Amino acid sequence: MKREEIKHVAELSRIELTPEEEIALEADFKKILSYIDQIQEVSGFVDATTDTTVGELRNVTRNDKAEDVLPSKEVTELFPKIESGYLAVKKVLQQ
Amino acid sequence: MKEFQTIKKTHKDLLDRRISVLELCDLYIERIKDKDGEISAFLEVFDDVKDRASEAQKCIDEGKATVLTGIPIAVKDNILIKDRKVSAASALLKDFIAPYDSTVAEKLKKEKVVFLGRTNMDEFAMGASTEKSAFAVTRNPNDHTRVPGGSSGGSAAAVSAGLAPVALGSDTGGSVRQPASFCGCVGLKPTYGSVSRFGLIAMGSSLDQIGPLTKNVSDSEVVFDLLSGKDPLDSTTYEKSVFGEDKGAGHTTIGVPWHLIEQDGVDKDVLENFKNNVSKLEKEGYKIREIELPHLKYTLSAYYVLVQAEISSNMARFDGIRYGTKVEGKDLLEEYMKTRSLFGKEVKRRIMAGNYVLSAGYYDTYYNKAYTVRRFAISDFEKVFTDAKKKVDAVAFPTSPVPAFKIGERNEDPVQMYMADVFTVPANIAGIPAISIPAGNVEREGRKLPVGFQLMAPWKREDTLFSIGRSFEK
Repeated sequence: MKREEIKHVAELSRIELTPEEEIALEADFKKILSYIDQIQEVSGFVDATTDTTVGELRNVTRNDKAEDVLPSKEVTELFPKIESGYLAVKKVLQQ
Repeated sequence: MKEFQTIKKTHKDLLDRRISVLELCDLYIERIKDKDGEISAFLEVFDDVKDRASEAQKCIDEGKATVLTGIPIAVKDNILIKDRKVSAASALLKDFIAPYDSTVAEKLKKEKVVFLGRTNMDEFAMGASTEKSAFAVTRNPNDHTRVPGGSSGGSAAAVSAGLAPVALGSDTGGSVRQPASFCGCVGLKPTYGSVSRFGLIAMGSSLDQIGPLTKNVSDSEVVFDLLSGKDPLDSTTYEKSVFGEDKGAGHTTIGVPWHLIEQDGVDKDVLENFKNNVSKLEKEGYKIREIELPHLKYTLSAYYVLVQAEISSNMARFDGIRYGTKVEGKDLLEEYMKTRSLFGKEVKRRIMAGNYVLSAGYYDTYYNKAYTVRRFAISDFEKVFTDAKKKVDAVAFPTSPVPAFKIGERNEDPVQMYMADVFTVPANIAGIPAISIPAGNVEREGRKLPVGFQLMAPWKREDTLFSIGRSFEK
């Protein structure tokens, strides 16, 4: 991964990096990617998006019906910022 | 009380009034006060231990006790206990209070166990040394200059140092078994789907399992028996009735994939220890068979693609908006960026690597290829566990290729740290159960460092692990 790519992925990941962190990550990713590249030696291809039979993994479904949920007060108490009972968020759309 | 031996023996002592729950808990609280300053196994010791102990005692006095009633248990800091702090050792959840109980906590509360406190870990369970906690570095009780392993290093250190008789950990790539091996206790990674993950702070959702760290195999079994079973809140869980039941030893065959074990990077003394322990099992009457698992050498690389992909998705929820730590910024984007910059170095690295392997141009190259390796590795295990003529009942590995390393030794090189998981990751990739059992020591700088012996069994055959484990312990 080049420096520009690192900056781009950091932005996608919503992580702010210092220039020092960028330099360190460039070296780290070189090592990590060259290690994980070993998997390219394996021939064959199973499509993760359509395969449903991974060993013992199986799909489990239930009726789309509301079940017991946390009382709203217990949830709102966790909000870092709250305004008249609502979750306060900075304005998203600019004028 | 004499030193804690097993849960069952302690249960009998409690029933026979040889010890009270309060005395039992006091013993551990005193030891924590005495020793944990140096080890740092705990992030918090709960202030209600005495109250909970009295409740458990009342339950015993009324004749309503079960085998776990009054047993003190330490809990890894990523498992939710209602109204208690749970931080996953991260600055992002520093003051987060759990609004509900994890299913495992609920089950243990019902038995009236006494929670001693929450134990240190690598931030969000990402690490193999417990050096990556935002709050403290835990030290190995056998040698304070060395790591306890990780990510459940606090739990392993607590059990090994006698600060708790039982602890809970979580294992995504070896995070229960590897610290158990480094510290000298028993660590179980159950079958994926046997223990509910509801209320466990997720890391790699297709790999995570909660497992016990205990002093012996019998205790591991007692805790597993309670925690396993169907939970409507975790749709991957199985009914208890589908699990195997041990019919007693006899004609048990253990497979050893020597081609994976006799490798560079495996410590010479660890290898010798492993060979001796395989011979020991052979003398006990087990049949040892050399097996081949051709795709397993790729599982560690595949794991680091899959787990990072899952991490990048699971960590997306930590945005400073709905809960957890928030850093104010001039707009929404800046708040996200500043809040998420509180993640430690390893977490940032993994989120970014995960987003990279999932990105459009690389998805097939990395994610799908890793998924393919996972499928092939599962087939490898299926073959050795079901082969008509050469079937094995369990597979043996060393738990870790090396004994506990020095604090700081592997901190700078992420791939070096990842290598610590090389023998544990295959069980998570395949979803099969695995156990690490203390198997003697190797000596380093005049100190005895514990080494673990690892067994893996077919899906839902924890019973086989306990059965072989019990005879291994003798």
